[in-house]
Amino acid sequence: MADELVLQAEELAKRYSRRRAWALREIDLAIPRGGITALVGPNAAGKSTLIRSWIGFEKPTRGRALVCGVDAWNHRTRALEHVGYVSQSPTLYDTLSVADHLLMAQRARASFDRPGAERRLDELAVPLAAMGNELSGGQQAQVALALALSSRADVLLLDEPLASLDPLARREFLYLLTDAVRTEGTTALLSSHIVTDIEQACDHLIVLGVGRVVLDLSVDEALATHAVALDDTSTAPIVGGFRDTDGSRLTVVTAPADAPNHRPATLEEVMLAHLAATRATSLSERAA
Amino acid sequence: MTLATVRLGWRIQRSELFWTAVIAVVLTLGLGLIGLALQSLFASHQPCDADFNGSGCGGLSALAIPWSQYGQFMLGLLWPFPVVVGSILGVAVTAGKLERRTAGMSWTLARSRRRWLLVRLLPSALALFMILGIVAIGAEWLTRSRLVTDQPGFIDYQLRSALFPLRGLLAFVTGAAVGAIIGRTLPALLIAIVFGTATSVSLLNFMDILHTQAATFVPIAAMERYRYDYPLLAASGATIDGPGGGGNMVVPVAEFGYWITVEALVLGVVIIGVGLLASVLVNHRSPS
Repeated sequence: MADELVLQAEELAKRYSRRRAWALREIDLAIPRGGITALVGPNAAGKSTLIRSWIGFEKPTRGRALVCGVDAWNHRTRALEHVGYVSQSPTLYDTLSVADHLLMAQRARASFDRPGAERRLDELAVPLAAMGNELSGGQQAQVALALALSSRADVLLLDEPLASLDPLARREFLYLLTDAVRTEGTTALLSSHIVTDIEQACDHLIVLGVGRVVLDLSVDEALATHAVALDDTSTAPIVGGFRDTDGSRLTVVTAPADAPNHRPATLEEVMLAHLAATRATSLSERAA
Repeated sequence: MTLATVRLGWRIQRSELFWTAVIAVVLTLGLGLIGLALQSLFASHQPCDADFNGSGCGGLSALAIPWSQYGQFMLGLLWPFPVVVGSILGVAVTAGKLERRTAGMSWTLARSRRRWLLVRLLPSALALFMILGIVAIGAEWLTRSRLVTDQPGFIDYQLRSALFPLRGLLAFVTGAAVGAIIGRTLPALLIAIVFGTATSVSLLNFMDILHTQAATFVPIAAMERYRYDYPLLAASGATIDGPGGGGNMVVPVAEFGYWITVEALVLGVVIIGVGLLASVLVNHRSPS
């Protein structure tokens, strides 16, 4: 049902200037309410542009980005009422304390759950009296997530928030996120270019490559329908091939994970295979 | 807008406002001390007027002229002051937040970007008006002391009246608008200062035209009841030094206070216009 969709992209395309390549090309997506969706892809795949289109930061060149059915560019204020956002490198105001940031969010949004935010930050030992410039990058990201979670938004858009975090901070961040999604029914879209970071937390996977959606499946479906061919005898349709860290070539095919002469593919292998295929297509398009 | 919101807006800008206030206090103290020195010198040499005419003037000129020159120097410093501090504060509101990447977080939390801008502009504008108002009072005190009169007329009237803080506010909103376009503090500051200076000069010329259009010819003989230093034009259009030049002078017929009101209204209209422009620019601006 359309009203159950919290994020939609309808033939969404974005080009920053005529001299530059398309950042997004005819993206069609529909993300239903609930769960965590991973948005993965290499650098410059268009992940940030897509997320920023949903918060009204980028004007689509063509098409629409909708949040809970509201056009994010034409009705930005209404669309943002449904969104909590954490940017790639969240930065707090140097001259405001953490408590001031919570007060600011409370003044901006009537629905903001300040006690909830204080409780979350207390659990993470982030001092409320600390000024923005006294916090580490990880702590700033935790505060930004607490602000986003406590805004009680329908959907959280998290633009590579893990990139600047150490492993422990990543775990804590993902714990906060999954806990909120589980207990409050929030929908989260979490972007990253490293799939292993997020594969345990996510239940849906969208892979972007060169501005196009190359995969849009639940994690279970993705794992069940992809396998790595163990020899050259596989007749299953090839998704893509790439070189593994030991130099050997891995070929991922569309086949049941338990098919003979195949082994189950990891989520990262699924993503890499699709990206390799996209890159090959893109190169041949450019050559043509 | 609640008191808590204003307090937050103030705290975000407090560093820039603090240093503006410190410089303003130093300037005002300088103006006040020089004015005090001149007042006490003229008080101890009575009767003696500003042109050192009178039986009590003996030796006063040697003492008073250096102080008067210091005063003139200090007043000279005041001409760029509102443009510079207004631009610094205005640029910090928009470009500073874009550069530090706090705008992205705030814009997704805020009810609207217009409201975000208003909350940031109003407390700083109020503080700037008060700070520059105190400097203007210091300039009024010094000018009266230098001229030994309570009615200095048009001399340096833009430094002594409400026009001084209003020029600061114009530079402030101009800085905010330029900062919203450029998004980088230093280049935005340089451009804002150039724009602010050009606007101030244009306004001076515009007021010159208004004064001249509203002026009337007054015979030199009748000039005794005026103390006009502006505009000193002969009926022929040639600049003359003052009474004694012969012929007629062109002087504004309206009182000095009338022209202050007219210029304040012109400034007010321009400030509101540029403020609205800044609001439109912020509304359409991408936060990076």
